[in-house]
Amino acid sequence: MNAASTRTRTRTRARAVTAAGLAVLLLAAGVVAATTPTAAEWEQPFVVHAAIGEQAQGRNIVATVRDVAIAERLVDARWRSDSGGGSDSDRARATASADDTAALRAGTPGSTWVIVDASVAAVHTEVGAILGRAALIVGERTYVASNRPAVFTLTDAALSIEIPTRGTLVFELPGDLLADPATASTARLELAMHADPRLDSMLVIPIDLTKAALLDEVQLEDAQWGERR
Amino acid sequence: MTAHPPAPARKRPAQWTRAAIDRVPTKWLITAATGVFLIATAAFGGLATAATPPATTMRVGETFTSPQLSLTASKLVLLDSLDEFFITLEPGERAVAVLAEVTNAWTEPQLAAAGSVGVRDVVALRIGDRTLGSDEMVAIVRTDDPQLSPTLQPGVAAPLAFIWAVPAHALRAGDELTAEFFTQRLYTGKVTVSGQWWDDPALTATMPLRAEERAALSPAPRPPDADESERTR
Repeated sequence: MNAASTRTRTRTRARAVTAAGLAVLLLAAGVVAATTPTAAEWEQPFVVHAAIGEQAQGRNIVATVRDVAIAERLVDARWRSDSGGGSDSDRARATASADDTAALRAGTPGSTWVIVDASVAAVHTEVGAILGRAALIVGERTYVASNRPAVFTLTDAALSIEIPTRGTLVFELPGDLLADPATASTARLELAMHADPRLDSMLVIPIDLTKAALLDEVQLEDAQWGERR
Repeated sequence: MTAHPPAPARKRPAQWTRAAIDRVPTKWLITAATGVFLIATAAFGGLATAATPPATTMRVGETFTSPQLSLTASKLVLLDSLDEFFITLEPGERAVAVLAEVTNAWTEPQLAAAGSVGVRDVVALRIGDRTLGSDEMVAIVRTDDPQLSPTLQPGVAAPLAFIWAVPAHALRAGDELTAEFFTQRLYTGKVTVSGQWWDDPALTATMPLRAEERAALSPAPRPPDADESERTR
């Protein structure tokens, strides 16, 4: 009788230990699962922060953003933002086959351009050294530097070691860009050597678009090798 | 070893239930579960293909919207030349293009190119019993700049042309064709794939369009310094 009750007590204790052990294991598994970094976290770029006017240097990219402006229209020698390279509206009307698309041909009414004046250079190799990622993040939206202008912008330029290429990056944004000042004031520019910036340096420059100069029209020029003084 | 305490005269409900379940043969349980599964499947239409919602018919000028982009088709044009985009048509072929104003409704830029999944899968063209889709597409261009394979920035409208090649005698001005518009789902890569992309196109809307002749999608490139006087700086 005594032996039987001891056996029962031992069995009860063993079960309690097993249950407690299982609970601890489950808890540990939960903690590990909840705190494990995601792919987005362990593959994230190495961010280098800098303000406008400051030099930011990463693994193979060094850049300085000089100035930021906002313009209604962009113009270069062979292209205008409001009517493309085709023609102005008068010529479009004169072209019999084109008049019916006058609405489409009027370009993209309502878009606004953010113009970034910057100089960029490579650090230790010129192989494949181009500005692969130039993105402006405003709120949840990501805009990449426009390739619509006919001039050479910084996104087309090959970068040299320690000799900055200076030029513009232009971003096409909706016309109501400044409608939400809270979002527009916390924009940021991301510059990196590869279009996919993961696991390499990415320069991040905060930009307050509400403080940028507002211009009607900006004439674009080719990016230039060497710093303009 | 298996010394059970003597069974009490009256079993408790839990013990009784357990004893009852123990007496049900496993085969019965499996049969019952299969039956329940089959009845549940039948309740949702069995193995018959689920009915897809019918595509709505739109009129010219109406806007097709989806989480990926919004698109307002305006014209269907027949062209002999795509020289301004440096595209050469095969001898005996003409180009047919759907002109549309397209606005990227997503938060990321989207490349509109015939060789890149995403935007190209939104538009198809039905000619008789044949459908020209993204596989047959020659190019997507921006008609104002003009530019081949443009990037669509979030929230910014762009005048695009979706272009296919057809045999020269297949179409003439006045023919009515049907443009098809597709809604796609946003996929996010996991484990072995990274990034996000639009895929799984589902036919959502159709629009009848009448073909018309056109010499070119864009007028001749403007000469340099054409309107120097307009510039302010």
